[in-house]
Amino acid sequence: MSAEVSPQDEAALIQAAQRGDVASFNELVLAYQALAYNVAFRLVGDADLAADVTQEAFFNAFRHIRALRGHTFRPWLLRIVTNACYDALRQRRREAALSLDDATDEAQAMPRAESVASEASTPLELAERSELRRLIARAVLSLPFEQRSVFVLADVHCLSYEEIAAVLDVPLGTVKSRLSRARAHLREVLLRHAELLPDV
Amino acid sequence: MSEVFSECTEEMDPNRLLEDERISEYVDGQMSDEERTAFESRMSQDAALRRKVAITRLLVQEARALEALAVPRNFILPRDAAKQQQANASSPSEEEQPVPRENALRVLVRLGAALIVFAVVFVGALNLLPPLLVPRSPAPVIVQPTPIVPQAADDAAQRMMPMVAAPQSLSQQSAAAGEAAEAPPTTPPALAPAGAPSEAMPSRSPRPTTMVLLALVLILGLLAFWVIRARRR
Repeated sequence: MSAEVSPQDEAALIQAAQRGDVASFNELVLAYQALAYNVAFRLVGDADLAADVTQEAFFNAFRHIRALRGHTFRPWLLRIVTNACYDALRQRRREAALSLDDATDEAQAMPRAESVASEASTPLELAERSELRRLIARAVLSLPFEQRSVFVLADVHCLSYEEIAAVLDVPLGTVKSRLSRARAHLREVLLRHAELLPDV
Repeated sequence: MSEVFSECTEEMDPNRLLEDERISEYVDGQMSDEERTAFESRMSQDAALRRKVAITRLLVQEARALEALAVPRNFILPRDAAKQQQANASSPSEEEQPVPRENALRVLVRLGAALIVFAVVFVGALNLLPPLLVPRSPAPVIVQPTPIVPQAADDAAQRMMPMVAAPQSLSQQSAAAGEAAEAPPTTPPALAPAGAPSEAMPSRSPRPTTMVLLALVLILGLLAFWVIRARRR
């Protein structure tokens, strides 16, 4: 359900969308919806909420696309997605004290067995690797939002430090320090589950 | 796995933070050649550091391998979204808002404060102005019933007189007032009624109306300047 768009096409689509052309904007939606949804899911930890947030983010993006001047679409969109996630989590926290178990859609957060199987050689290794990834996915949700967003963008979606700085509108040094803190915290979590760690 | 992770909010000591940053930079290949050599030299002598680096590498590797989820549906917008965009175009966008929300709130608070100050000044001025604007009238003659003292029944003339409390006639009163202006009496008249303006009380001296009005205009001008400045900000 995603389509690749070349930079030239992207610029043309943005210009058309700025003139109010919904069809052109929808081509951008198709190109970026997988990224937007996955970032949202890793930030909010709930599939339904992530879908709502993604839809709202695209509406907001279209509504404000005329303000997009001299920026590339991806970091601009991801900023909107990140802000929408933050607002959604804040609203949800306001509504009820949230248990992490409720927040995590385990079936979705769990990596697919076939992807783990391709890297693990034995059934035990497969199970351990699957459990380890589930542990990481859950532990990410325990990070403070500003560290979580940097970790998800950097280590899950492989954005560069510079791009993350543009998405979050923070200095490069802040990106580095937040990322190192996030990794340190997750490392501590992994150390508490040493049985899942391979010999390192 | 029913464990709930604790929120990561603890304060960390600066040395540990620095080491975490170095580990992160090393894993991401962000170190210069000299830095990397020095760091690897440290690692060769520090098993704990080696382990931290290894776990961080594993963490990054596994995080990158987390499966991307398939989108549950397409997020394309309906055709009438263009109408919403046009409606939004009439109002400034988030990036183009002239006044951020916090500043707008501050301006509102200032306007409120200015209004309160203005109200206080205005009410104060109203309290000051009446004696200045209303022409001074002669002191009213206050009638107060005097206790009926049994008099001689044959005093017909006194019985026919109205019960005027003031012991003096108006002419006597004005004469007394004139004297009071020159030399205040040492003792109040014995029969002066309690509610009547006493000659002994200091009379209000007329205040310059123009001065009050000028002060009022000055205060209003300052308030207007303050409000305009706050709104420009």
